[in-house]
Amino acid sequence: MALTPASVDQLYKRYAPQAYRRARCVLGNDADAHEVVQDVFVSLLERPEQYKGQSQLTTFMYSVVTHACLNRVRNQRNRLRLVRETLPVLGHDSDRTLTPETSAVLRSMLASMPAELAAVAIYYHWDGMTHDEIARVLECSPRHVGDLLERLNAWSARREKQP
Amino acid sequence: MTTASNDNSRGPDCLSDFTIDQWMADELSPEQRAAADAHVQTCADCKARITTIEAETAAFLSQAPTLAVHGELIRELESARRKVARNRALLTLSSGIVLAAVVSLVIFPRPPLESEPAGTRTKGSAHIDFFIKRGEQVTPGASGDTVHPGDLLRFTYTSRQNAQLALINIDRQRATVYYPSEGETSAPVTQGEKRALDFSVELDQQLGTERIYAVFCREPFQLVDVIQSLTGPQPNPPDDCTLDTITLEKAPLP
Repeated sequence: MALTPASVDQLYKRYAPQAYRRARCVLGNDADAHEVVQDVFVSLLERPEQYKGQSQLTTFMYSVVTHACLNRVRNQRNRLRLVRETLPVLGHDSDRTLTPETSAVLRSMLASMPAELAAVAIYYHWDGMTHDEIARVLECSPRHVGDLLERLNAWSARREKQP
Repeated sequence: MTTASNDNSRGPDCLSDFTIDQWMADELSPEQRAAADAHVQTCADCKARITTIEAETAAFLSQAPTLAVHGELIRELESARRKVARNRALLTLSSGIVLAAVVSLVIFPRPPLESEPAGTRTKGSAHIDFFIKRGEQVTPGASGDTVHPGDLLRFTYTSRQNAQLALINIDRQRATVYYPSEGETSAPVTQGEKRALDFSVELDQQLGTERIYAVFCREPFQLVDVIQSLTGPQPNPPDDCTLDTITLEKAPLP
């Protein structure tokens, strides 16, 4: 199904709330989350051909919103202060429940994380997605998702050791 | 009121938010849908999560039902990015009344204010509206409503002109500034209809009648001065200002 500017406005009602919810969790505040939602849908209005119909719209929106959040995190001038407690070691063996402190630490790490790992971190820790679901959004195999989570684990462990 | 939550504390067999979103968008295959329905039937955590997401969706769309309205909303959020903390420094008046600096007042300048009964407003004048979040339910509120400790309130304002605004809650014991969230003077707001104020307030345990005053003025004003004028026997806002009042009765949960 190809998008048109008219259909984007209709899609807003169905997909903007979920986009806001996820952006709010990743970015940690209402204003930034609302701006991400606005940016995503205005971009779709201007270039509806971005969606080629190769996946379901929820899958597409998850990917677009994640990238918009990551771009915003990297562009932020004022970074969140790290919570100077034990940095969580991330990866599929860790407790996936995010406390506010863990969320803040994870959020501050996103900007310096390799892009591939940052997206997986959001899907796994914030969205609570399975390997299969993440594979669907990333258009890769579940095995590759497992590899990415191992790399995420290793990356965060190295960071923890840094002074 | 826009809220958003994230909850990954459910069990390993529970539905992810991704699956719930697909379920709500009717994107699951018949087999996937049947499996999801069967799981939700027996899982209180997933039922609760779906209820939360549905409530948050309704709250989001009530504030920004279209893309155009959403654009206006974020412009307001850009100029009001603060949230009110529950506990603020207290302002002590010379009269000895201790006021909580949480409430903000919005005051609009207009022809001399006629005395209005609490909870009423002149048609077309600047005013505030609000939403009540209780548990997972979000509903529009109105003056005269009964509210409960723990309820969350979120406000919008309507004004035909730019102004200075403050919202102040006055109950039997104290005055609390809701908006602006910090400082001792009013906050500027731009003209508009049902513009969201970027803060929410959780009602405390103090029961009884509460009045929330929204004071709109043309010029900036000191919060202490307005609070003093509102805590007398008859609310008496400054000249060239508009006062809107919401009266709530706070009672224990049934």
